[in-house]
Formats: sequence, structure tokens, C-alpha cells
Amino acid sequence: MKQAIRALSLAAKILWVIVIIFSVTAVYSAANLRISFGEPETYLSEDSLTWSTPFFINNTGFYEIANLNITTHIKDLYDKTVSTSTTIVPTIPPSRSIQETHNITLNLKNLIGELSYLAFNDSVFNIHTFVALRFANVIPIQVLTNTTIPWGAPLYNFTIGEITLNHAEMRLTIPLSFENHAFFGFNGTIYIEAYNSENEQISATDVIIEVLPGSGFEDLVEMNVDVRKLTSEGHLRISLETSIFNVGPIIKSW
Amino acid sequence: MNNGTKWKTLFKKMIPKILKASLLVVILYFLLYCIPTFVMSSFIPSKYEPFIDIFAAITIFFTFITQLMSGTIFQYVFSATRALAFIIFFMQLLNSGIITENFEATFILIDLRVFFAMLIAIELLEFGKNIFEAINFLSEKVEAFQLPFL
Repeated sequence: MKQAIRALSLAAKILWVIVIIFSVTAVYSAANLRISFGEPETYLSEDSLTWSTPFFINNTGFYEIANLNITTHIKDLYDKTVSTSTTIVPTIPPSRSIQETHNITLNLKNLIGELSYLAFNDSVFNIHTFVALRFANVIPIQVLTNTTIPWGAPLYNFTIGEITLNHAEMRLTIPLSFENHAFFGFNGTIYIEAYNSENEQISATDVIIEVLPGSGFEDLVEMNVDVRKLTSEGHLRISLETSIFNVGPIIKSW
Repeated sequence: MNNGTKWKTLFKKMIPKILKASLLVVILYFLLYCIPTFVMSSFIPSKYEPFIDIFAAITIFFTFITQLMSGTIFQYVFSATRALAFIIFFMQLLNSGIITENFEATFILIDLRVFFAMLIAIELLEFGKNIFEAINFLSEKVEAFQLPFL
């Protein structure tokens, strides 16, 4: 009996010592964890935008940090996911440091293709960042943070003005205007096709434009038309093409 | 032995026990209540403060009572009860052993269930040990009582 009591007593003491040492060293290790972020960089490629955020973790503690997972979901105003980016660091052993980069990629071509309202309307994106890790292999930790970033429409307030026909010169005049609120320049082509009431093409033209971020565009586009095919009613089909995205056709009747 | 001598003996035995128990209570009150409440209060989220109070109360009460009852069967009974009380307390914490906190737009979750499970395991060992000690104490008493007749 006494031996059993001694064994149980010893086991309990050993476990208490383990738990206390673990608690103290875990708190010490967590307090000595150094996390820093580098300067975020933005890259605009052919059709996508990438934000790169470098981060540095110096694990000066006694315990391993495992399964570090950083996931960023970008959602639009209607909670539709427009981008998901994940960075995984399998392990950060004790007394080691790591330097990684979390890249968030936004495919602008798909974005404006799927959510065409973003081409014409300013909006906001909600960025949900989820960080999960396993500290000392027994304590899972999760951090969730939400931020919003504004979205500027590249074709904000896109307006097709009053279409006028000059019979003498056989020319249609179309006033076009918009403001580029996006962070990237609008370098592309506006294709305009005119159709009569019988859906017969009576004219087509294209205009190459370059609108810097934060600038406006306002111009009168003139099109030579075949007066014989011209009818009192008809419509224009306007498409906008850039290296980043395509929009249209936008139909405007006269 | 007359009544006066009995009381004197009882006081002689009890006063050191009471003093020892009181001293332990003061030390534990300082360590388990004053330090977490007044010194580390900024590190402890307010919603977890009741748990610290309960932990301190259980520890202080059972330390006092077991010290007072030392040398009797009740020492082991109260020690076993303390272990059971801690098991129930840690199980309560285990249910909500996921600590969550909000800092403006940041939500933090720390899962301490494994840690609390380790504490429950220790308390189970303590409970078993106290039961064995109680049995051992009783058997020794019986042996001492029977010995003159053998």
C-alpha cells in the first residue's frame, strides 16, 4: 500500500513539475517570439495584381511552432470571394528564424469579368486574414483579422452622351466620358459599332485611349455612317478592351 | 485525565495547526489572489477573472481545512475532495478551454484543452493517492487497535 502511495505521489509530483515547467517556458517562449513585417510591395502584371508582404519570425523560445498557415480571403461587398491566398510554413524549430512572403494575388481579368459592376462602380473589398499555428505541438492558436480596402472603378461614371447625326457629313457623333478611379492606368481601345433598326452594321470604329489613374476622359467619337442604311432608330455596341480586362458590349439606343 | 487537561492538550495540538494553516492561507491568498488580481490583471481578460477567484478559493479553503485536520482521516477525505473539486473545476474549464479574445478587428483563439486535460490527469492521480492514503491510515489505526490483543 505504502509503495503504491509513494508511486502515485511521485507520479503526481513529476507531472506537476512538468506542467509548471511547461507553463513557465511556454509563456517565456511566447513572450520572446519576434514577429516583424517588411515593406509590402505591389506588382501589377499583365492581368493580375500581387501584394507581397514579407514577414520575419524569430523563434527564440524553447518550443517549435508548427503548421503556420496564413490565409487571406478577399471578398467583395456582397461577400463573394474574389481571391484566396495561402502561405504555409510547416515548422519553425526553436532558436531558428524564418523569412517568408505572403502573396495576395488578385486576378483583375477574372475579377472584372465576373463582377462587371466593379468596372463602373467604386466599392470596397473586405480582407479576412486567418493565421493558424500549433505552439509547442499542443496549443493551437488562431488569429482572425478583418480589414477593408477601397476599390476604385477604372470606368467610373461611364457616360454615353446625346448621339447626334450630321447628315451633311454623314457622321455620327458620340460623346463619351468616364473617370479612372483605379490604381492602374486605363490603356486600351474602345470599339464602337453602330447598328440600324434591322440590326445591320452601319459603322464601326475604334479609339485608342490612355487614361492615367485619377484622371478623367471626355471625348467626342465620330463615326462615318452609310446614310442609306441609317434608320431613325438603332443602337451602338461599345466594348472596351485593355491588357488587364475587357468590358462590354454596352448597348446604347438612339 | 480531567477536563482542564484535555482542553490544554487539545489547544497545544490545535494552536500550531491553526497557526500553520493560517500562515499557508495568507501565503496562498497573496500568491493566488493578490498577484493575479492586482499585479497581472492587465494580462488576464476580465471574463476569466472569476475562474482565478474560484481557483484561489478552492485552493485556500482546502489547504486550510486539510492542515487543520492533519493527523486524522479527514485530512485524506478533504484532500480527495479537493482533487475532485479541481477535477470538476478543470472540466468546466475544459468545456470552455478555448480562450477567445477580441482586440478591435482582431479575434484571437487559444485552445488550452490539452493543458487542462493534463491538469485533470494530475488531479486524478492525487485523488487516487488520497484514497489509498485514507485506506492506509485506517488500516494502521485498526492494526494499532488490534495489536495489544494479538
